[in-house]
Amino acid sequence: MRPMPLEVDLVLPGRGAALSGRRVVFTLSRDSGILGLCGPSGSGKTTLLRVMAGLCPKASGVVRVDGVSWLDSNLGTDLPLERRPVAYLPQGVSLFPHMNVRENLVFASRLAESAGFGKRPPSAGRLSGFRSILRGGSLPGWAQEVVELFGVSRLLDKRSGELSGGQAARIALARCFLRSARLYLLDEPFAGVDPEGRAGLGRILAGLLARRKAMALLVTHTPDELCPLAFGMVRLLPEEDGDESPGLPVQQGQMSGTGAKGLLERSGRWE
Amino acid sequence: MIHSALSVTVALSFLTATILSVLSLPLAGWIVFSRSSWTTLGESILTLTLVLPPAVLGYLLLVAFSPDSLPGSLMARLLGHPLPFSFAGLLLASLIYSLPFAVQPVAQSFRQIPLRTLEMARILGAPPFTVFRKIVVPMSLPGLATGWVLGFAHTVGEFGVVMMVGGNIPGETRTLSLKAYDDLLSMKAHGARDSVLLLLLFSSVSLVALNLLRRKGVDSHASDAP
Repeated sequence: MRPMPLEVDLVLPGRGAALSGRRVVFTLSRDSGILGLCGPSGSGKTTLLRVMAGLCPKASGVVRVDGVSWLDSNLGTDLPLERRPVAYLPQGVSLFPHMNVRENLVFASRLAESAGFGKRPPSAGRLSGFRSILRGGSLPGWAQEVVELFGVSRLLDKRSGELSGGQAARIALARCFLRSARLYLLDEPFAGVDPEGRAGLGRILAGLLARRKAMALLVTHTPDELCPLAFGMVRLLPEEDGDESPGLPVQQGQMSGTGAKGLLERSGRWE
Repeated sequence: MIHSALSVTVALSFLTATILSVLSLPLAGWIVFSRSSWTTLGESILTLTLVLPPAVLGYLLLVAFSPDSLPGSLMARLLGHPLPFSFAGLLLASLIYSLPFAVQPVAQSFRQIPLRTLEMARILGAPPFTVFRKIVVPMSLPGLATGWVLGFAHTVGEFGVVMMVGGNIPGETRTLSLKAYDDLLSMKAHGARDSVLLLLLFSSVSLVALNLLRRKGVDSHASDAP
């Protein structure tokens, strides 16, 4: 039997000292495409993405992609970010301020090439280093294609401070997709983009994911907008206030009650 | 006479500031980014010369540099002459004395780099050394420049350590501040005035440079916001 492309069964660590074990369970049976993730502020969307990216050491549970355990706290498995074929676009990301747009993209594409992605010209040892100096700050062809796909090739010579929010969001998306990954974690990638642009970007994203046979988990505050693109939606429920009074530190031992505040709801196919 | 004291001072301060700027990168990197608990000890040793009286430091360095001691004899064999009362010895002493002044500003700029910026580079697949080379160092250029200027200015003005380790040899280890002191003792008021004026000039130029750098640093941080 083919392994499930994505299985997630996690207990999210709470913010700060308040470790309220909140359980999230969902699976993805399709090989590629967009899965939406929504929920009110503070419901743990960003934490979930960080756990899946391998940036949250306190997580417990299971994340399995194509049958490979990225995280399995029962077995003690926790692959570091570097060993997960994952690309993560954090919320409201800013470009590196000391580089212009082109340098930002060249930086990312070089890293992707050294990870074995892109059509690197056959290199002959020492010569390749020399060649990369000669090439200077120019984008390799495969990266140029990604950049054009996201419609940002006109902005390459701008500094990061000169960009509008929408432009910065497009460039951050392009930079994220320079990396080859099995799973893309996108935290509100369309923030700052106008409504027409959002629809266009969504189609670009869906097409790119289909071609790369990759999955994306996309955080959105406007689930309706994502309907035509995503084939499913994970909705995190708001954290219930109740037993613990605010301000009191909660003992770490209390979090073992997993699933006490369940919050799973997986809608079926969205048409 | 004043020319030789001036050239000794400028050569000493320039070399000290430049070598310290290079050294400050790995040192500050270790202090700020290492998770080892040794960093606290390292940082304390690094800032020790801030509170140690220069005469004490000069004495300790003389003892360490003396050809009778192990480090001193090793250095003497390497250089072909004993360290004390030579330019090389003076340079080594200045490096130790001015170390915290050059390293602290660099460490401070390393600390100011937002964690999410470093994390972003890691997410894009950059190994730690690449993050350091391509993100941390380029974003800390104002701090590096500040460290250079402080190291330079501090070496120009040092007196006690220079006096004890250098031995005040004209043309080799006599700096401007030593010359001002000598001239004053031997009642050469003009010579002392010239040295003091030169020292004042160095200090004011350094101050202007530091203020310009600080303004630049503020500007670059203001433009960080997307």
